[in-house]
Amino acid sequence: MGWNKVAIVGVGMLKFGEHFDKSYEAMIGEAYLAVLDGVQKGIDPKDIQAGWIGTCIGSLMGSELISGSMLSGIVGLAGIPVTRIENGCPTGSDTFRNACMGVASGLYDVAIALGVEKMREKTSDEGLLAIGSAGHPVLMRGGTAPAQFAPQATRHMHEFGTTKEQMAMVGVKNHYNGTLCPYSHYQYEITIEDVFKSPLVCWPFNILDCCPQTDGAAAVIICRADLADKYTDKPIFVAGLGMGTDYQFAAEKESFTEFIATKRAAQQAYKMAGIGPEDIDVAEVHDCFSITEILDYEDLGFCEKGEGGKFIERGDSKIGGKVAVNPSGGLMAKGHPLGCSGLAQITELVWQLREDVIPAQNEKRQVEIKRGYALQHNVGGTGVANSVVTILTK
Amino acid sequence: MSVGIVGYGVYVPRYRILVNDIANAWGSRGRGEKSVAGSDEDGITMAIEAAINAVNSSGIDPEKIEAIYFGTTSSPYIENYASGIIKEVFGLPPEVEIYEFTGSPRASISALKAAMDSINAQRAENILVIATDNRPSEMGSDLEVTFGAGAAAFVIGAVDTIATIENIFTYSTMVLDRWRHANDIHVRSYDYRYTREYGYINHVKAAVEGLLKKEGSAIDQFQHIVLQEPDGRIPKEATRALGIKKEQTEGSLVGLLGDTGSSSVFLGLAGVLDNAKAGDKVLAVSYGSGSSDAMTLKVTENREKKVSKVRSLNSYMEDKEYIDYLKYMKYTGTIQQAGEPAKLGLPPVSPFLQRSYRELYNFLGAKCKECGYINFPPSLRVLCIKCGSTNLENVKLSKKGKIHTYCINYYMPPPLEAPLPLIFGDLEDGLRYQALGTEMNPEEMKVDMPVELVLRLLTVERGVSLYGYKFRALKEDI
Repeated sequence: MGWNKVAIVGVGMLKFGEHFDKSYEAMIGEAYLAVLDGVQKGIDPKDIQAGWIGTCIGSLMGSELISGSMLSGIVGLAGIPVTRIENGCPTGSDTFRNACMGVASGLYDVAIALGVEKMREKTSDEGLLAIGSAGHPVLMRGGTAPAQFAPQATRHMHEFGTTKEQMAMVGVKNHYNGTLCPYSHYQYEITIEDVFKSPLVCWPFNILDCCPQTDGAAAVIICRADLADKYTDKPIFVAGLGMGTDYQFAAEKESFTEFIATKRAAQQAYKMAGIGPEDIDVAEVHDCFSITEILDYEDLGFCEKGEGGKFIERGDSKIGGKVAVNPSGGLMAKGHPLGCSGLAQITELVWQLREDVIPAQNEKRQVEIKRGYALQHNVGGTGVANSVVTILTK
Repeated sequence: MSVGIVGYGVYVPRYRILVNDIANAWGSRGRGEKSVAGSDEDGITMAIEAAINAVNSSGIDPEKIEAIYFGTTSSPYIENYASGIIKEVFGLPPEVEIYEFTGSPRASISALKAAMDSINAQRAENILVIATDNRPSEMGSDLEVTFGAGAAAFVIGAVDTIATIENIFTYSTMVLDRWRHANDIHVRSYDYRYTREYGYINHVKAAVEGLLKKEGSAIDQFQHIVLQEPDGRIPKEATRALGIKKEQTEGSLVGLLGDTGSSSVFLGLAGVLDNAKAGDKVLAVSYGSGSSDAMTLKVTENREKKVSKVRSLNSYMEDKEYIDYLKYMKYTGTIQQAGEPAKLGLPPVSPFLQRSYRELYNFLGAKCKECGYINFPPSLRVLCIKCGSTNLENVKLSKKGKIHTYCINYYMPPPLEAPLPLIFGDLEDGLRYQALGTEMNPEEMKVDMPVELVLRLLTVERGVSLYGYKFRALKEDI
């Protein structure tokens, strides 16, 4: 058995999409209401002793300094300690991880982790370019978000013969899954041909190899495992937590065919949970770009190194396959609001493990839970050198 | 002691436009072609490539350069040493002085004369003299069809000279034929015939005649004659007036490169040196804004052994790509894509960049003495990132390598231009380096392709030109 000191007793999220009509603060408020509503037996907000908020809006906008009061101060919790987390693409999952550490340490009995991002407050042209150039103004000039992952695709194709068709299959699968998930930003299916016909963004990526820019907010309430019954009959336990890092700059990486940060995070989480990749029923993994999910299969141990392309081609990662990967639609269809993505992945996995996905009793969407473990994963940030892996169980 | 050229090098951008393609847009016709600087090039980046070639050919350790004399009419700055970065590229110490010469296309000869004076006065032994120009012209003007881009550099000294400089005669009066006021974006010109007759021919003739008289020689004693070439026609008229024979001016470049301003005579001389024989006498004549210098050079036996180290003018002339007028307007900055320009992560005048110049431009890595890993850039690393050792030593890095992996961005905000390759290259010393690609055809890019780093203009922000290395397909020596 794993760690299981912390229980998730409530999850909630907004439908991902373009919330032009909602303020950043309103999204926080709505996610907060959604998570309260998601606690099966109800919760008195006074029980929440501490909070963690994950957001990158400060960096995205370039002129904002967001701090903890952005959560407590606007949902009627003013007074409780709240820490803001920003840690690249794993911001949401690291927010969750830190909240878990707060409860596991014994300092707090009940805590909230909330992630929020308004990616669409800027035009898509201005979106992620500044972030791509972070770290050094000269050395990183011209960097973009896709340019952080596309070189891995080029190298993986070169070394293992992975094809653009196989990469496209990731989008095809995740877009299909997205049509089943009412929270997904995109609600349409695509074909391999659609991917090839879509505009070339950053070779070897066409636009349908890329996740969209999405607004979103999600929240999770956790408590000491022994207190979970007070709030729910179906607690989900945190079995393993891992976080791995790599070097600051992409050029310092030892390999362009893996994300070593992911491997390190996964090793820690599996060890803590006392399980292996073969025990995972369902996973929500980082698929910001098509190649990322292919590398994830390998780095998380779902298949051998270099076999990621064949793994998707064989259908091993679809719902009903060996391990269902990204049943929510993933970042690619559901969306990738940085500070929120990890918490939304956890939300999806909690629903899947409880076997009460929305819409209810949907056989196409509900993953069959055989072994009882789910895995959440993000990788990104400076040099794509930060990764968080969370393992959940019933 | 006989002062002369110890090493020489040139640089010509790879883009060309047919003069007719420009003239056609304005309802006229034209002949020949001219060189065009890429959108990430300016007088400084061109100067640096020429200077590196010159120092390589001289066989002199770059650390032996005691001063840089820089001549141009198109410096990016009116105040601030545009050429200061060249010192950083060569890793020269603060005592090395830089002098900038401007005012007319003869700025380069002014620089050369001053360098000679300094060596003759025994204040220095080796001076790097650089000519570079990429002059701005107004659309539809006579100058637009002539102004080209290029750079050339000489290492001047008194030991192991390729060619000695025997005599110089300068003739100068006040003439306003071409000028650019500090408030002007483009060069202006006065009446063509006035410029040709009263300006160029009068002064060139007087300077040459003065020189011949001074040294008691005759025009037919020169095997090679290099004239400043403001266009194809003016120098031809001058050769007639001076009785110069066609075979003496075989090195004419204007029909291939256009008017390269300060670089014109230097480039012509470099072309002559690529092929001259020991003992050849060379006459070089500059002109700009009412001043002309006539200069005699004599080629020595050393030429042959040094020329093998030179990327020849011919190699730059042959490596070319034609662009249309639309691309030309983009490259000259006449038109720019709409949209909010992509800003640097930090302002270009930040202390961050101030303390980074030497390591970025001289290209230094912090090599770990424990595990051998090369950390880059040194100012960001107190400990070796691989083993944690603090036993680091700065080393100069090779700029050649091959592509490990890459991608190509097809959507870029201004001033960046798509398609834009981003490359991770494995350099000869073992450092893996990330940089943008330049002058690359996306179709031809592949893993393991040989590449080299060249310094290019990354952006101009807050009135500051910021430079950084980019990968280019490796140009073979010679």
